[in-house]
Amino acid sequence: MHRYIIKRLLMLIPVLLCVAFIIFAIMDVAEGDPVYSVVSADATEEEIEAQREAMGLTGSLLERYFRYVKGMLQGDLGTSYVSKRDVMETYLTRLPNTLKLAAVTMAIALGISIPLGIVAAVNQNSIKDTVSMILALLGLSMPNFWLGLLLIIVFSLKLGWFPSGGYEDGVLSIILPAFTIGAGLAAFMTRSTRSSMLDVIRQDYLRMARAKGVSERKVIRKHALRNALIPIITVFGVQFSNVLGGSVLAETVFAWPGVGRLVVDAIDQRDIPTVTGALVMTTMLVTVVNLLIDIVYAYVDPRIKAQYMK
Amino acid sequence: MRDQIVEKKVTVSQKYKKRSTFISIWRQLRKNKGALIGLAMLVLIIAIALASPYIFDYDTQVIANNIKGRMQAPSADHWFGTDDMGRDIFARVCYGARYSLAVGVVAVLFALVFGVTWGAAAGYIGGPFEDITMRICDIFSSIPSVLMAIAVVSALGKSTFNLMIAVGITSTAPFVRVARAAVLTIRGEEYIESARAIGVPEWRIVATHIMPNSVSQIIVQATLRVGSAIISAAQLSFLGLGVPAPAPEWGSMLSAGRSYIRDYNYMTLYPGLAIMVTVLSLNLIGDGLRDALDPKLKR
Amino acid sequence: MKRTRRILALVLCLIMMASLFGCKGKYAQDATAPAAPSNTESAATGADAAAPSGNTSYQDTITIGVANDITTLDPQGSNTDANMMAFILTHETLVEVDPVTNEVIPGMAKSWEVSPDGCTFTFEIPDNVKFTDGTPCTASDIKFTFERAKESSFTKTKVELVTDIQVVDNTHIAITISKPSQDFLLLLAHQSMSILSEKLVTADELGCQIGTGRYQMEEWIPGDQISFVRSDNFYGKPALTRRIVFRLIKEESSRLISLQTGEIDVCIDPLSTDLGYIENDANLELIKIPNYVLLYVAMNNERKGLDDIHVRKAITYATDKESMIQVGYNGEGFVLDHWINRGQFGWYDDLQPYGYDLEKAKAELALSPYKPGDLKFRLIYNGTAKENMALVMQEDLAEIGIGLELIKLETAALKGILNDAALDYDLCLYQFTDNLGTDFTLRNQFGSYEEGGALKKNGSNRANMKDAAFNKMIDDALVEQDFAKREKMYNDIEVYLNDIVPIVPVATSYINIGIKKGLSGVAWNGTAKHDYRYICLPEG
Repeated sequence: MHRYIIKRLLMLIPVLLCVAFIIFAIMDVAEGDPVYSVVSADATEEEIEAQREAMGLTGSLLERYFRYVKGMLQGDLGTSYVSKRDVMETYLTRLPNTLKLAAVTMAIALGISIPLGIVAAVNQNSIKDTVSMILALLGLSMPNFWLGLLLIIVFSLKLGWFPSGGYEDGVLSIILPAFTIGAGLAAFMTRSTRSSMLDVIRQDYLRMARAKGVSERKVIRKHALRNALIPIITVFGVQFSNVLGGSVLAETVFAWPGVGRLVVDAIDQRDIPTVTGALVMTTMLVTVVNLLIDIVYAYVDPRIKAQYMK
Repeated sequence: MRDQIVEKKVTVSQKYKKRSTFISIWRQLRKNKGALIGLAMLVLIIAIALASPYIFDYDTQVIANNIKGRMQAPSADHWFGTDDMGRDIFARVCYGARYSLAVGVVAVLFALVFGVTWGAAAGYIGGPFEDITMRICDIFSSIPSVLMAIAVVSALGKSTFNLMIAVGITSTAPFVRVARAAVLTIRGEEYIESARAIGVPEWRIVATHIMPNSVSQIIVQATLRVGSAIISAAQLSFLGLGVPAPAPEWGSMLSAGRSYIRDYNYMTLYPGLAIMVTVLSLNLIGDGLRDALDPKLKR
Repeated sequence: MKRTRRILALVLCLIMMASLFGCKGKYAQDATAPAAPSNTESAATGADAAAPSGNTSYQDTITIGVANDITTLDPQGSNTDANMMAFILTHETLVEVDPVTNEVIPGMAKSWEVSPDGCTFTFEIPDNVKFTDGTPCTASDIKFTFERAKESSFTKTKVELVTDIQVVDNTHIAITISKPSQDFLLLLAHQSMSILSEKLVTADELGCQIGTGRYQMEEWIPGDQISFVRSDNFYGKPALTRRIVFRLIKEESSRLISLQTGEIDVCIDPLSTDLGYIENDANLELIKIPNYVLLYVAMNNERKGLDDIHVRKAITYATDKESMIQVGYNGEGFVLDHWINRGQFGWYDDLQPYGYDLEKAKAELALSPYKPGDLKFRLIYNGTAKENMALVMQEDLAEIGIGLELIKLETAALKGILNDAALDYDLCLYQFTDNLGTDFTLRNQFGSYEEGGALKKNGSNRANMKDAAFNKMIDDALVEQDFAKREKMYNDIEVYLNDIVPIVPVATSYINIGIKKGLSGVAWNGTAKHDYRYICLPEG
């Protein structure tokens, strides 16, 4: 098992190097020389050259990339062109906000999807099932930023229950953005909960339990749900990347100072070190979370373990 | 002589199989009320998209400014009201269907052609090439797709075409996976082995024997992907990275409406509704297709 | 095996549940703190806030909702007004400009003398000036600051006339300039000329964050907020408010809602369609002042087509400034037909504006070698407001047969293209802040200098105009000592520019600010660079 974990961790390194390269290369294609967005209009040639040097813009793409990777391996993501601050430091001040949002989002998604999915599965083909599935489809089809705007119109402007942005109001200000991202996720997970419950619900051992006279409620709670949860958790892990990505829009709509907005603002300012650094770190986070889920899964399912032990 | 017979046999069985699949798909789909509703909605939206150039004059009704008539509430003259440049929102929402559908379909086609070719090749060739392909897919799925698309558009510059590319790139990985998995399941099948044994060229095996088997999954995947591509494109436009002004793209209409959300919320309401209805119709059809194609999911 | 697996699954679920509830618990605790939304902070620290100035007690912390983030804490590291606003709090300049009369008044310098030839300025500073960390400030720090300013491209134009700086003693410094300039003191009043400590800056790059002002920086969270606390080392009367926070809220409507809910005390730049909410709210007050920001369409005068005066005039006639103000500023602005701003010295009342007239525009274009349909330009800009304005121009220019391709860029990319030596642009919607006197406005926007026998444009000269005759006119006006003659010279310059139309001036707008009723002490400034040093909000 240790070998498996170590192998997976080692595989992480080329993945991150690739991510860094892809983002590095993409940002390099961008029109315009970043140096001119930093120097004043009155700068002389020498000043521009000096600035270029200071910004690490000299040399070919590969040279710059290797320089960057060298720093990255030592935990140095460079310095922002704009704020002149350490990118890692800036990222770390933003990350807790995004994680908070992600946690509440996930809580909302789970809180809605599991009960709804179970109700739908248990009452298959009934009106309850249909209504749940229609809701889930609507949730899946709604662009989340639009939902965010609608929530602002109703809950901030009309009813005044929640703030329309910022993060100063603690639990109050997190609810609308979290619901904005969580709705789509909840819809997705309601559907997967329903289908994995349906898979489990007709298994022989449940029929057995029923035959033994265990109440239907207990069958569902004690046997079916427990087994159905595993695939749900996988879905949950896979969706983590979407939650982080989806939060870009919600963070923009709700002025939430998280990583997504950091990236969007940095792109507006052509702040390449910040964009690259934040994307690399986010990818690393997603990859590590997926790895953790895989490891837990491997513990649970010996077949997966065997596959990787080879 | 023997070669020909074997080949002919395979082709016949393929043809027979293909026709029967499409018929059975349609039979299944016809039973699915949701899918039929979705289909009807989509046909309507496509009809609007196709008809809008004949109903509205682009230069005078869709993009022409009318500063004096800005931000009028919905009325008989302007069913959805007018926006901050005094343009009729109804005309723009209708015309916007062209942009959203085009961006969604082209982006997914790009992803499909590129991803399926790559995935099929990876599955067929195997070895290190397959490994590398799958790692690249992993990489692309772990970069949040919105951020990836933002980076691509901001690097390539803002244009409708670049928007399609960016959305296409971020939806490629699933197609690679589907195609590879499909190839893997039948790579070892007997009729493939025999075709190879009798010297049918490799590319032909892939094209005529392997790909048709994964078509159904790819169709489902593509239908659902068009929906999410439309949302992605709208998201980028909303952030100001999409179709350039003054084109009536739904996402950029939402972005313009956001500033006026307090007093003129109809500017945000209708374009968003249009996105939702379009994506909903695609999801309904996609669900129906999946149920029709995958007997395991049929309940 | 199956059993273990199930147990593991259960454990896993429990962990996930626990972590989620853990999070929830935390928020529940958080929620108790901001239960009383707006004034929690003042309640918490109210005890020590009561200390200053007699009977009235003032709100401890004042939060200002701003639209633009600070980008640097080095006064000489940028020209951005959002940054300068911070330096007003933390630093001092030798002299200041009275916001009402536009006269130069003492800053750190108590007084100054000008030599008879108008070239040497001797400043006297108090002997007890200290930086906020306690380091004393002497005349040699001023010398250090101005010499450092020559090294930075953001400040070097402000000290380019300086030929010599002499430290007379600890409290006196003499600065000599190469020719008498009527506007030199105005340049010294700019916050980028804030006095820095030689000792602190040499010791540490971040030393430039420390000035001699009334406040010191407390914490800066880029992209979120920056806070300042009252300094104990200020040599004059201490400020009334203990703590000032600039909170970044980019969304206009969110910013205003924050003001209405009491989360912030000042809302800079609310959306112009939302002003009614401020006017109708009994707890709020609307401040409305004319802007010093000149919005214009830059025309690259060296581009084919734009080098023709008739084409430029045609574009000018076809610019519907009224409509642009409608769609860009929601009507909150004035049409600008002049080359300097209202209230600036030399504004010529009798200048003949072009006005919006498509027929005249067509007639002008007919005088040029180009036919309708021949010309196609790229118009670059940033932001939604300018995009709307660009759409108006596109439509009008299409009327007269000039094609316009609209290219919306990110702010940094736009600046990059404008500053790039290649000058690869045709038209650009851009703005210029004019707060440093007529000469500064004219010289920067339209002036050029000689280098290697050729004229090179000044930094903000987006028209790329190189006109020796114009340069001579502004040089002469700058040194003219006779008031009336000088005014006439600037009037003539306005007429001169109006004849050659290097750019199309479009508009100046209002600056709107929503504040809580009772808030006072702010010198609101038309450059959006407000002076919050004396801000206070009486409690109760």
